[in-house]
Order: sequence, then structure tokens, then C-alpha cells
Amino acid sequence: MTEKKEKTPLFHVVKRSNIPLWQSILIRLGFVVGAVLVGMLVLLITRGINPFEALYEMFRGSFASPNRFFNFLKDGALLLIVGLALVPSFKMKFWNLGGNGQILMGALVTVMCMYYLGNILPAGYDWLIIICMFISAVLAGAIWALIPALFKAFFNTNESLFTLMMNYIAVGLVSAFITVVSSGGGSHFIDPDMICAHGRIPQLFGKEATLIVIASLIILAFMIYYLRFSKHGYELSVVGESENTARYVGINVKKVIIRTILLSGAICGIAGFLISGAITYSVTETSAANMGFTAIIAVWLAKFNPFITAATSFFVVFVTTGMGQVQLAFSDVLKNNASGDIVMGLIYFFIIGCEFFIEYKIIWNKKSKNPLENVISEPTEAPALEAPEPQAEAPAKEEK
Amino acid sequence: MKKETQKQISIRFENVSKFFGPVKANENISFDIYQGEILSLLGENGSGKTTLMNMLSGIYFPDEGKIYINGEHVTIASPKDAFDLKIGMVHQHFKLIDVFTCLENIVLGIEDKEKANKSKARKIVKEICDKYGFEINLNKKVYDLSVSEKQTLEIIKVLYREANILILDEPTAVLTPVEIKRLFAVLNNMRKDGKTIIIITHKLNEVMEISDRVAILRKGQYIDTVLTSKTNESQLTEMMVGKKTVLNIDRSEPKDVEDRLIVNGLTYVNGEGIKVLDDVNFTAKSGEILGIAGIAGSGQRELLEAIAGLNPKAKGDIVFFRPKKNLPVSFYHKTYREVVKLASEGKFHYDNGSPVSFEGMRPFQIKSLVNNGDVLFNENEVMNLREKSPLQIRELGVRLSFVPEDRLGMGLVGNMDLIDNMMLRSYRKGKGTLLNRKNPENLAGAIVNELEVVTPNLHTPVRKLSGGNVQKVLVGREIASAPKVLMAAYPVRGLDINSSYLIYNLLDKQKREGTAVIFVGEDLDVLLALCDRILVMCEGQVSGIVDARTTTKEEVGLLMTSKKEAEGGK
Amino acid sequence: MVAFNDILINIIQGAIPLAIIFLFGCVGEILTEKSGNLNLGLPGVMCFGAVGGVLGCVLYMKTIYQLWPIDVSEPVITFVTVLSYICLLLFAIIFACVFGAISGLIFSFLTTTLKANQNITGLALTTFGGGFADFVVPLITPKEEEKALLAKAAKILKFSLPYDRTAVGIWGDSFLNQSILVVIGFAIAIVAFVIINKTRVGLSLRSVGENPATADAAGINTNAYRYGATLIGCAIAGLGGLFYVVKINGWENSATLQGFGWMVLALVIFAVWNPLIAIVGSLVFGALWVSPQSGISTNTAAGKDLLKITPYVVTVVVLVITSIVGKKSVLPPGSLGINYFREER
Repeated sequence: MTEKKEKTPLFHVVKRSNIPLWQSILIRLGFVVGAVLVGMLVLLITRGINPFEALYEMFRGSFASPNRFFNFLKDGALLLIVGLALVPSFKMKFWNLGGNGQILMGALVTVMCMYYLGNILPAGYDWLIIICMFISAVLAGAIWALIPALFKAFFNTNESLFTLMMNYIAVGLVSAFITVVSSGGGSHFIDPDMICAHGRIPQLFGKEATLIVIASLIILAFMIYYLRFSKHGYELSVVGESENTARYVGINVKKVIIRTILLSGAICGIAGFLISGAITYSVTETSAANMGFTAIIAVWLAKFNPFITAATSFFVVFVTTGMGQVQLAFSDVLKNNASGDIVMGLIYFFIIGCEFFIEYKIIWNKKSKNPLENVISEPTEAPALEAPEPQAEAPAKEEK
Repeated sequence: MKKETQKQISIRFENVSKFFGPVKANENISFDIYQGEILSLLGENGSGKTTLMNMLSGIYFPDEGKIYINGEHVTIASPKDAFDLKIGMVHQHFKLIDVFTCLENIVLGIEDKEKANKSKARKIVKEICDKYGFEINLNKKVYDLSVSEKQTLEIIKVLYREANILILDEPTAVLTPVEIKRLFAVLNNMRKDGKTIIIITHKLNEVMEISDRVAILRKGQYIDTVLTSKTNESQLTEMMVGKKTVLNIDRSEPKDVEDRLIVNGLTYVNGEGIKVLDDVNFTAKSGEILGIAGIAGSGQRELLEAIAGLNPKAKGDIVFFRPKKNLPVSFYHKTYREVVKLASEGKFHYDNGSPVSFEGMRPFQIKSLVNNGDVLFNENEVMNLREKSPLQIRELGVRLSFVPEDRLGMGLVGNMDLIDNMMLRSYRKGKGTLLNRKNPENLAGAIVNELEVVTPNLHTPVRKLSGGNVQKVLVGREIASAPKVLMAAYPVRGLDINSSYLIYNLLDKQKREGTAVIFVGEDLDVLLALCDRILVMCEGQVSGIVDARTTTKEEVGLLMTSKKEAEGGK
Repeated sequence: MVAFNDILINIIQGAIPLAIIFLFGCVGEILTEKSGNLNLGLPGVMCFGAVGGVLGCVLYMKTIYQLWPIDVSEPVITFVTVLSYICLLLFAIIFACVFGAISGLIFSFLTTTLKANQNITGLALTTFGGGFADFVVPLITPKEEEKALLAKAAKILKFSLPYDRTAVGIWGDSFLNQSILVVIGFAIAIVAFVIINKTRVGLSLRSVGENPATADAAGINTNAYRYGATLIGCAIAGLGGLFYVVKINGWENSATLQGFGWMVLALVIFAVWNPLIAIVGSLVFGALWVSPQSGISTNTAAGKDLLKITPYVVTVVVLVITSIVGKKSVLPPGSLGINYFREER
């Protein structure tokens, strides 16, 4: 036997048919822990930071004091709202990368209401301003999402690139507004006390976090109902799974796309309303704090499940605030907050990569050790062509 | 019979297996293929023919077993390895890049600088064409080619790479008889050249015509290899399906036959500007099965989709007769205003036969009359489904069910469980925005019980079920709504024989219950045994409608390939 | 009121350096996308390239430059200065390319080998790249000394090729007084066009991007092409990061460069995946970007802010028009953003 082509690949990859849930969760958790450890290791090697101290500071970031904990709740709940906004669009396989822009537009019109209506209306009409703020923020977010959705529905325009561009257009509009209201002196910022004195959303129980958390819980409950129990939710998951099936059962795909994205944008608008109306009383080009992107990863990690999105959102915020605290604690060696992005990026990479081990199985190819298996030696003469004859006569094997 | 007695073994499979999850696509396959022969690889759909050949051409990697080429144990880990071993495959779904020209497709992926040179390639291709009798315009873009041109291009591609082993996957499925003749002539030329040719097929007549030997696979297992000259079609069939195919389909006699669906002048030009349906006319009748025969891609799919409202650009009339004669009027699909209008036109009568007139009656009186079921239709309702969407058709109260060819891509959602798939048809029922999962769950349970669907539970995503079970779920759902018209496209494709019979019997049962069944099939024997009438399509036209009880396979086969005369009188 | 000519020259002078940042990124991304990989991590990739550029420059300036110094304020052409200049250039380019390619390797490993979703991987790479640059650059340039060296290196890299200033006039000057990297940028774009459209490798590359299953069946190693195109593409995009460092004479933070990165993704669409159109497009985008600062008077101050968004609006218009026209020649590669697994059923 000439074995010149013996170069069996070490392994080959096949799709897994099934994996127990606990196993997949365990794999994911393992990778998250691994990512954090690698991040700590990076800090140890490059900056000589003791990993245990860093981990301790990381927890302190969110839990050291009641104030920090409330901040953690506030940020987590905000990210959750944005995440919930994106869940339906991603479930429909509509790549809405425009969360930032939709939040920003919500925030922009909120501040515009506070500024312009605050000037017109006499004192004591804050409630009216707040209602206007809410309505216009919802509309602004929805419209900002609607534009790409319309083109996606009617011309199949690539939505991920379109929504991406809409982010920057929103930034430009915010920038222009700031220039308009802060004109004079060349300053380029919004003074909350000058511009946004009226129409501030009151704090509940003396904390910013309360209102945001309540809002996020309401939206969470709504989203669970919408996706799991409503006809709309069912339709959008059919569209996401297979547009052909949707057509087949008579779902109006265009309508579903537009309706879902309107909802998505509207909730992003609410996030903007809360940021500007209840927290910052101002708007800047970075008011969205990149949550539109962060939330994508949070919902993706949650496999588009609203419940799990709550967990992943708070986890993401926990890591980012934690890394902020690490930076503060080691400010002599860490000049900026970039280490947070690095650890976050590592976690993303690890989790993204670990999906492979959940979806696919690696089969290691054993090399045959038994030489007898390679029976054919020398180029063989085949048996005469007539040879198969008797077999042909034999009845085919019956199998039951 | 061949006089040569000794032949070289070209390919040897030894205990080759391939699994896709729980599905055993190939199990312990061992046999030899000789050099310079044409071997037919025969088997039903889903018997593992293509999987086996894909392992030879490097698309799949065997999970177990060995492959020997010319006596050497080889590892084919990629298509490139296959090319290096001079193995070339023409896939059933052509592997061509649409936006490239023919020439670019031919030189694509060739590493030898000489051969990749376009002007040199042009010359060599010309030699190949002359030698085997091909015709091709090398500058054409692939998206401008006809199906047979694409196939020619694929074969040239393989020959250009000097393949000695040529695998053709269902090469005749998309060809006209003339084109098939031409292809077979080419294949014979290649055999004379000493090339080893493997044809994957399930068409017996072609097996008999072209091949030297036949290897048979059944359900992923190797059955036997026989000399073509020493066998016949019935023996091959027996090996292929495991028992004699005296098709024991119980065909009931049609009764209460009346027109249910009249298709008139249906024409559809698809997105690429090709007329896939050309003035199609026929009538489907209640209580009978209308078979649709034709070469794959003759417009069967588009026809059914047009009727189901999925091809909104199709032109022509689709008239549905809703069986309402002497049946009560209800407000289920008619508004109060519509009922009053129809009454004033004299469309209703009472139980005793006297005509209905609502003149002078108060609305509540009319409503109670209708709700009591006292008002009956005079005639069947006539509705034109032209340009109606699937939803509109449903809202009109037309109970039209459709089992599409693409089960997991259209009929069902693979990632959803059985219950959610049941809901596809019914989720709109009920007021409000909430879904009702109770009834679908009951329905899913009933289908699993009655059709013996093998599934761990009702919450299993349907893509995890085997092909036969997927089809049972789909058909079960479609007949659950007691349809008046049931359309099924290739409902037994890829199913084992038992599941196939189950489906045949279900269709016949529907027919006995008065449904107009339209059945698109590919196996002529089945069509002849199951249907009452057979409509034959050829290139988007109806080339004939025959009585299934009196016609012959030959007649249908002839119609499948004979396009109507362009101008010939009707 | 500034003279119209001056405004135009201002724009040209400001636009070309920006255009080159865009062009490097754009050509790199086109190459990547032609293989079917949609790398939304481009902003991160350019940050990686910037880190490489900074590292290369600082390494060179701290070592060999000490032997072969160049007088920055009044450069004289001698054998040593030319040699030193070339070495610095090579150091900067090689490091920028290698770092860019490393980020491409991360992307390719996750998407091509581990079949991860390309959009998500891209976003993660952007997060990571920005953090990486902001974390590592201060490590490379911890003190003012290194920062000064970096600024000096940037100045040297801005040197134009020698030409007769008096002969070309003010207009010619505004075009010719550009870094050699500008020339390299244009050259790479042209070379990329030729390779993609006129060579055998380009044919295979396009086939992998159009229909990987077909390319695979034709014996093309699709994974190798995706890896190769992504790595080379990211290396080229890394040069964009380097040129950003050169342009601003150092490093502040990653925010602006990331903004440029997103702009480049828009430019790829604007250029309908053609490197030659990318040259024009990058100049247009560069001009649109700088024109608010170059003295064009707008009626309101906010007008400048609105002018800044024109590139994005233009891109949206191009995106919409190409999708409506739907001609094969202007559509994205057929399998863009979709991973390929041979044994898929």
C-alpha cells in the first residue's frame, strides 16, 4: 500500500445537534470568568496591579456605598431600556445599529421642549412640558428609526449601514442645536440652569435611580408580554426566522418591519427622554453614552431574551463602573479609563468565541493504527466484470 | 455485452459513514467503481447518494471509513484535494458565480499559471468543445445563461481541470429530452476516453439507457451493484425501495364532483424576465385528485404559489367556487351590509325554497334570521382570487391549504416548536392582541398522535425532527382546517416508503371528504396510481390534461417534454 | 470676507491629509469586504494601526535616529538624512501594518474560524481597539520626552517629495506639499483596484465574497482568502491610523479616529466597493469635513455643524440609490457579512 496521501487533518468540525442548557450556560460563564481573569492579568503584567486588589475595587465600583449602588442601578436600568428597545428589531433580524442616534434624538427634542416651552409657558406648567417632552421624544426616536426601516421594507436597503449613518446625522443635529442655544461667547455647551430650568422630571424618593428602574421594569414587563404573548411579537419572530414563511401565511412583512422598528425607536426615544429630562437636564453629542452599541452586545449575549437582557445589561454596567473604580484606585499607574474598554472588549471576544463551542463540535480524527485496515495493496486487478452477477440475482436485503 | 473481462478499480469505498446529528446519511458503505465505466448511483431521495459523492468531491469529510483512488488510500479534505486527484463533480445546484463570465468561471480557482491565463484557456476550452461537441459563448455572464448552458459550462469546467472521474448529480432533472440526448452522447464520448463517470439519479429509464453498472443505495446503506445488462427496471426498483413497487395506493372513485377552482389564463413573468407560467388553464374539482407532472422547474411551484396568493404579479383569473349551495348564510365572513345587499339581489332562499327578501324587516330581525341559520344560499359563491394576498384569501373565507415544496423554509419555521408552528395558520383567531396557545397545543398533540410523529415533546423545534416527521407536521396542520382546496408540492420528497404511503392515504382521505386536491409529484408511477386526472406542464405551459386511469407513463412522459406549438390552433 | 481662492486652497490643503486617512481605511475595508467579511471593527483597526505607528516612530526615534538625526526645521538632503527618513518611514509603516493585521487576525479568527457573527465581532473590536490605543499609547509615550520625539517623527513623515516650489505656484503647492504617505495612499488604491479586478487572485477573491460555496467547490481555499484579505485589508487600514498620528503630531485619544473609522465605512458604500471611486470619494469627504473650518461663511453658526453631517447624508443617499437601482455592479458582494461553513446543510 502506498500511503503517500496520508495527511488526515487532525480534526474536523461538525454542527452540534443538541446541547443541554446547563452545559451551554456553564460554557458561557466559564468564558466570562476567563475573560475577566485575562483582563486582570493584562493589568498585572503591564501596570503591576495586584489582580485581587483590582477585583476588590471592581466590586467596590458598584457596591461600596449606597450612592454607588444607586448609580449602578440607574446605569444598568438605562442600558436595560435601550437593550429592550433593540430586542424586537434584532429578533426580526433587523440590524438596528442606530440606537445611539435614536436615543440622541429623543434627548434632543426633550431639551428643546424644556427650552422653548419653558420660555413660553408660565411657571407651574411643568407637568404639561413633561408630557410634551415624552410625546415628542417617543416620536423623535421612532421617526429616526422609521427612516431606515422604510427603505429596508421597500427597497431592501442595508439597514445596518443606514442606521449607522443616522447616528452621525443625529450627532450633527445635536451639535447644531447646542451652537444655536449657546451662541455668544463661542461656548459650546448647554447650561442646565439656563436652558433646562423648566420641565424637569421630579425625582422619586429623592433618587434619580428610582424612576429609571421603575421605567425599565415597566418596559421589561411590556416586552415580555409583547414578544412572548402578543400576536405582534409572534409575527415579528416569524419574519425574523423566515421571510418566506411569513409571506406564506399572509403576514405583511413590510408592515411588520415598520411597526417593529417604530417600537424599537420609540423606546430608544424614551431612554433619551429619561437621560435629558430626569438625569442630566442637558444634551451633548455623547448623551447616548454609546449605549446603542453596548446594548447590542448585551442583547446578543442574552440571545434576544428580555429577561436575560436584564442580567447582561447589569453585568456590563457592573464591569464598566468596576473598571472605572479600578482606574480611580490605581490612578497613579492608570492615566485614563481605557482599561475598562479593554476588559469589556476581552469579555466580548471571549463570549463571541465561546458560541462556537456551543454551536459546533470538534471531531478529532484518530489515525488508524492497525495496518490490516489498509487491505488493498498494489493497484489491484478488479475481478472480472461478470463477477457481480450472482449477487445481482440475489434478492435485495430486506430490512425492517 | 462487454468483452473486456479485466478492469482497473478506480474508486473504492471502504466502510464509509457520514452522520448529520442523529441522521445517518451514509452508513458503512463499501463498494468499487471501475475505470472507464458509467456507473449509475441509484436511490430514492434522501438515500444518501449526494452525501456519498460529496465526500468524494471534498465537500463533506467522512466521519468514518476510507476512500481509495487507484489503489491508494486518500484523504479528501477539501474540493482542492479532489481536483488534485482528478475528481470533478457537477452539482445539482450549479456552483457558478452569477456575476462572472463563463470564461472567468472556468479559470476560477485554477492554480496552474498557464491554464489560468484567459487567452490560453480560451484555446483549450475550444479544443474541449470541439472534441465533445459543446457550444458555449465564453463572454456571456452566467446570469444570462439557460439552465442547460449552465450545465454545459459546469461540465467544461470539470473537463478543463482534466478530471478523470466525473460525478454528475441529477444531471437530467432540468433538461429537455433533446438536451438529455446530447448529454448522453457527450458522456459516451468521455467513456471512450477512459474516464470514469458516476451519475446520481433516481430515474430508471436513464439508468438503463446510459450506464454500465448500477450501484443502489437505500436509506443511507449500500444495497448492491449490478450489471445494467443483467437487470431490469422492476428489479432495480425493488432494490431501491426495498419491496416490489406494485404501488398499493388505494384510489377511491371520485364522487360529488363539481368545479371548485378554475384557473384561467394564468401568466407569470418572474423577476429575471422569464415567463415561468404561460397562459395556464385548468379546473380543479372537488372530490378528485388532480396531479401535476412535469420536469422540475416547469412552473409547478410558481403555479401553486400564484394560486396561494404568493405571486402577486401573476396575471389571470383564479376563480374559486365556495360550496355554499343550500347552506346557511353567516356573519362569519360577511358583514351585515353585504348580507342585505346579496338578499336584495335574490341570492338567498329559505329552507322551504321560497326566496328571501328582507324588505321591511328591522336589523335585529334580519340578524336573528341569519344567526338561526334560516337563510340559505341559492348557489355556490363565486370568488375571484386574482391579485389577492394570502391574508385576503383567508379573510374571504376561502379554505385553501398549501403544502409547499420548501418545508422548513416556507411551510414551517425550523427554530420554532410544534405548537408555535401550528399557530402559523391560526394565530390571528380571537380578538385582542393576545395569542392563544391552548388550541394550537391541542392540535399539535392530536397531529402527533394521529400521524405518529416521532418527537421528544411538543416543545421541540421542528428542525430537529427527521424529514418524514417534519412533513407529517406540515401536512397535518394544513389538513386540520378542513380545506376545500388542498395543494401539495412534492409532499413525499425525501420520505421513506411508509411515510409516503401515509401521505398518499391522507390525500385520498381528503379527496373522499370532498376536497379538491392538487398534487405535484415527480414519480410518474405514483401520479398514475394516485390521481384522477393529470395535468402535464412543460416550460410553463399546460401541455395536456389526461385521465390517470387510462393514460400510460409513456404518454405523460411525452407530454412533459413537448411544448405546445407556438401558433398551432388550440 | 476671505477670498474665494484662499478658501479653496484651504480646503484642498486640509482635505488631502484627511482624505488619505479615509482612503487607507477605505481601501483596506474594500479589500476585506470583497472577501465577504463585513468588518465593522474598522474604527478599532485604525486605532490598532495608530498604536503601531506610534510604537514604530518612538522606537526609531529613540534608537537609530540618535545616530542619524535630521534637522526638522531646515532639512538638508544628504545621504544620511535620506537614509534616516526612509528608515523611519519603514519603521512606521511596518509597525502600523503589523498592528492593523493583528486586529484583523482577531476578527478573522473569531468570524472565519469560530464562525462568530460579524457585526457583533466588529463592534467588540471597535470597543477593544479604542481602549487598546488609549491604554497602550500612554505606555509608549509616558513622558514629554517621548511625546516630543513622536511629534518630531510626525513632522519628518510630513515631508513632501522634493519639487520646485517656485515653479508650481500656489495651486501646485497645495497639491504637491504633501507627505510621501499621501502618494503611497493613492498608489495602494490603484494597485488594489488592479489586483481586485484584473488578476487571478482578485478573481478568486471576488468569487469568495460573492459565493463562497462555489469558490470552495472550485478548489479555492475560502478560509485562506478571507484571512488573507482581512489581514492585508486591516494592515492597509492601519496605515490610516498611522497617518492620523502624523497629521495631529501625536495622540490625544481614540474618539476622533474612531469617528473617522465610521466615516470610512460610509465611504466604502459611497465608493460602491471600487478603490478608484474611493480616491474621489475620500477627497470629497475630506473636503466636506474641513470646509466648515476653512472660512466658508454660513448664515448661522449652526450651519457649520450641519455641514459636518453632509458626508453621512450623501452616503445615505448613495446607499438608497444603489439599493433602488439594484444593479449587480453596484451591489455589495453577495455573501457580505455571512460566514461560510462547508458542511452546512
